[in-house]
Amino acid sequence: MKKTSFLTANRRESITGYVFILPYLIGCVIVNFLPMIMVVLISFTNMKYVTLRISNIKFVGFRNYDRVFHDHQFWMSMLRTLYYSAVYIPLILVVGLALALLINSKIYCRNGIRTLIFIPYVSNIVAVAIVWNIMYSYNNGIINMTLKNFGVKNPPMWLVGNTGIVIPSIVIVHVWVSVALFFMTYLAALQDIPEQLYEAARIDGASKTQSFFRITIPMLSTTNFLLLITAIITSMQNFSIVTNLTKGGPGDASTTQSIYTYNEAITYKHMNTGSSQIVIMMIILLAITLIQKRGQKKWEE
Amino acid sequence: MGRIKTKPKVSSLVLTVVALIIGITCIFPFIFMISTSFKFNAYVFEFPVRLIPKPLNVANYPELFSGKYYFGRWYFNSVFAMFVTIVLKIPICGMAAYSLARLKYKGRNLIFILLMTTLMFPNDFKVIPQYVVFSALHLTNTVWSVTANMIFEFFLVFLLRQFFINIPMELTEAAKIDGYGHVAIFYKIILPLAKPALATMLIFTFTWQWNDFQSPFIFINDTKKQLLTVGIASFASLRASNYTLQMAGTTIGLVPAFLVFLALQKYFIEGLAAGAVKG
Repeated sequence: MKKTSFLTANRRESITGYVFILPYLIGCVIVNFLPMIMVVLISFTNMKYVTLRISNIKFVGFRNYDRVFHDHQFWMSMLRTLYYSAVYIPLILVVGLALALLINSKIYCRNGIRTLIFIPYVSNIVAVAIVWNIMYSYNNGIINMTLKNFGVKNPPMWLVGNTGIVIPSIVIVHVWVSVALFFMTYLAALQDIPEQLYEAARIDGASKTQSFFRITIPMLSTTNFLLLITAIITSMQNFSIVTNLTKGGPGDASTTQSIYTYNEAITYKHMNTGSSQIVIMMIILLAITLIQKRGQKKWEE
Repeated sequence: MGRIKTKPKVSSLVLTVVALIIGITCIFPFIFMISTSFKFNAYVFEFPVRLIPKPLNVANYPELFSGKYYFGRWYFNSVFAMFVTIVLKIPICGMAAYSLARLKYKGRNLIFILLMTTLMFPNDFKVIPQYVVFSALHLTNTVWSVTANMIFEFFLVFLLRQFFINIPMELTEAAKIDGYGHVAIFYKIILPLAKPALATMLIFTFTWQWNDFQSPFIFINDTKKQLLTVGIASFASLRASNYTLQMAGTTIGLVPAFLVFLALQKYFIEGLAAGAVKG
């Protein structure tokens, strides 16, 4: 008798568990898993746009992948993404750490200044893009007017320049918008470093620079690694910011992979090759995650 | 001793000034935005910039809502989408987090690992696949297409689950002895304790949903059904030279997010720190 009542209590807990997770699970399948499965399937077909007339759809094997691999424009867009990341990643880590060090030092109205740093993070990308477009304006924008005032004869073209300048210009805005997350993480990590370490170092006669390189930097290594991965993924998330600042232009100077794939799949209605591009990116992302997992183990050891 | 005491003060003052300059740089574009929204178009590019507009133009804000544009409509759509998201996300995700944290059943760990994988793929990779599914299900141009991503996003469920796990299990045991069922334990005991975590969830949901550009951009192509973010973007590209009107539009779009952030920033920053530790 006692045993059966124990069992039903367990059963009741199981049933509640399933019922509680079910609504979320159904939604999550529709929003996350089903789309991914569909895209993998479509990447092997000749489907040009979304249709439910399945009779016209044929499996074409790896033909879409073959096409993507021979698509010069796709690889150019990948290179631009790579360039974007190469500018974004070091910049956001350095700026984030510098801000954290500054706010962590003995300053007045720390919380007020911290709030100011957060404001761009909670604003929307459309507003940000519109105002930066005006500030970046080549002829008479506030940035170039200031540069001219300081005697710069040929100020940069910014958003209307070639790949070399337009991508870093977008990255500057991206860093400005997203730095709060990196700043906050570094700040939390800095505050976790035990004060005694610095005191001991000071007693041993270490200078401030020495304790920075011998204590602060090593103590931040886990955070650095974590933020490096976050930075890689954030730098690949550039669709909204590029769309709003340049729409991938001028020409295709800022057409990164995310913009290129969007155009391919939706604007030009090549859902099949667009899907192949997404699958390729998913594989790259998977590789990054695996490296992250291995790296994490290494750090935890 | 006195020397040591005064020295940090001077350096603190210098560092404060530096930090203040950086802080002002962070918000300068917004100050510029607000000030431009009160200017006439001929003065947008005046140099040096006048932050207090002269002459003052107050016609832009009434113009936005004059009915010539869909501005009021977009605003309403954004508020409505926000309402739908919050009303659905809080219970659905609260229950899911509770189930993952405090109920034992077969397959729970597998479900958890599966859900964790959704964190791996950023939105940029998901929207086109989602476009496929949403079009097939005739969900594009509906409020569901612009809220689903936010409602079923996993990061906040993860944070809530962490919070639930840290509530002592003895509470549940004691409630069971008092004759409470699992549903009652969830609503009457766990949820009231989780108020700070729910506040974090609320503010992140609000900020992300209000500022979302990608979902409405890709899933909505009916101007009347558009949300504010994409609405302003299309409005701006149509009226490319009317900068001051654009600035008035963006300013109004930013106000709700800024107000909510300033009111609940404690929870926002705590949530960010908690998430950062996890990565």
